[in-house]
Amino acid sequence: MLIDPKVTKLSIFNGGGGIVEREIKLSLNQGTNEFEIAAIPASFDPNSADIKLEYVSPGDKDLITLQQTIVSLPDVNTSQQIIDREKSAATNIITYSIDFTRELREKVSEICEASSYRTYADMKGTFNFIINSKINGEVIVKILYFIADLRIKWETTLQVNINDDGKSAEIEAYLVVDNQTGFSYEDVELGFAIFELPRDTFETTGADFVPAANIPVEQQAFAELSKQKRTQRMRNIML
Amino acid sequence: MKANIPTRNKIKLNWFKSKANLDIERNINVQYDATSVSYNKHNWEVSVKYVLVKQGDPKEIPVNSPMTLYKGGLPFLFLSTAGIIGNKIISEELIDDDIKIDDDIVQVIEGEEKVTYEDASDPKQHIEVRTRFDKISRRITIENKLDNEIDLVLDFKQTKDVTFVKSTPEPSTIEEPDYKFEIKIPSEEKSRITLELQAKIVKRVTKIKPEFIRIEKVKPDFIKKEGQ
Repeated sequence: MLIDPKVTKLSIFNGGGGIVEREIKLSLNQGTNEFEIAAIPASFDPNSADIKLEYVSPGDKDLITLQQTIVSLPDVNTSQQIIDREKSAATNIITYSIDFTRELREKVSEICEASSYRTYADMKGTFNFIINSKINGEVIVKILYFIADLRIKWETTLQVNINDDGKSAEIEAYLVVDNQTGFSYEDVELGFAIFELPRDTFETTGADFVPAANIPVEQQAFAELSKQKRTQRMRNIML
Repeated sequence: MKANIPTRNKIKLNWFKSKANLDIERNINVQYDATSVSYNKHNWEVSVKYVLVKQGDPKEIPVNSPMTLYKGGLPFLFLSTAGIIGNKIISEELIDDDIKIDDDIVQVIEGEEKVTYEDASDPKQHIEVRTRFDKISRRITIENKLDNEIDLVLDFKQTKDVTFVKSTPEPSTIEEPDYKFEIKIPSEEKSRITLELQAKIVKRVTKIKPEFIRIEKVKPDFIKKEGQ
């Protein structure tokens, strides 16, 4: 069954990327229940994707269990072909449109802009899970995954008003969230972390090494995360 | 904090407002080596950074966050943060173009040269070391082109070749090898510091030892040829 759990919390890294937390209450039938999560970006990290069950009544713990999760990313080449076709179609719309009235113009611009910004990270990933239930009941499912999309990030800006005495000032601080991804987040609890996903390419001799060039830019950070040799700790999360 | 984050948009959220004490730190770092100490002119630069000591709880502000300074409701300086220590917000260091520094040579009194010898790699040679201690006097003029009085610290750091002898005015603090001068300069005025320094000038020349210098004799072949 296709489900679209609400994004409850979004912790954004100042260096780009973040952690998405989603939640949904599901009705279960006795037996095997398979669910497919909608709107999973291809920039999500399949290795860190996690599901936690929260039981409505404590007795359900032994009756409702998570059997498995199934995660995968879309094929890079096929996705790129689709993106290229979309971009080409958008160009044709602009080129061959006979008339742009005000309303149509805005709609066409919206479609064309969306396609011109689209990258592999805006494609859909697969995140399915199976719950085994011995009863007909309900369970709250919490889903958590990292997004390695450097197009969503935050920064602070400080406005310092210096007083006439020149020795004191008033600081006004703002948080600016820049979301250039293809995903919107409605009414989410925001978290801000000082963290930068590793981006440098490392020299490796490992046979299983996938050249960075073959990995989409948005995914390179996670591809290299496991090869990191230096410690990099998330410094602080501000709420 | 809850918000809507629409696709391909930037959103701005209020974070905090706070009062702070402002300290403007201006520094001039002066240092010479055996060669540069006798240059006719040096143009040093003043580095300036803004330190805000915030009231209330400390906030983690990332490095390189944009910071705009306003005076009288108008922005006058755009810079970014360089670091946060507790409640201290420290800006990046900038070069203050409104403070001009001229460092001119006043006098050089060459000292008496002393010659010593060191072994060279070739046993027939030695290194002649000529050492002299010059007395050098330099005058540093600092001009404040701003419309307000400034405080700055001139830090003269002595090196192995150039040492501090005395100065006018005297340094405010001495923590060898640093001699610091705390200076206050009113708007559109100049301040001067005269430094008297001692420079160790060493010249090394590799020479053949005297006992190995041969006096060339005129070959008799020439005489023979003349006789023939």
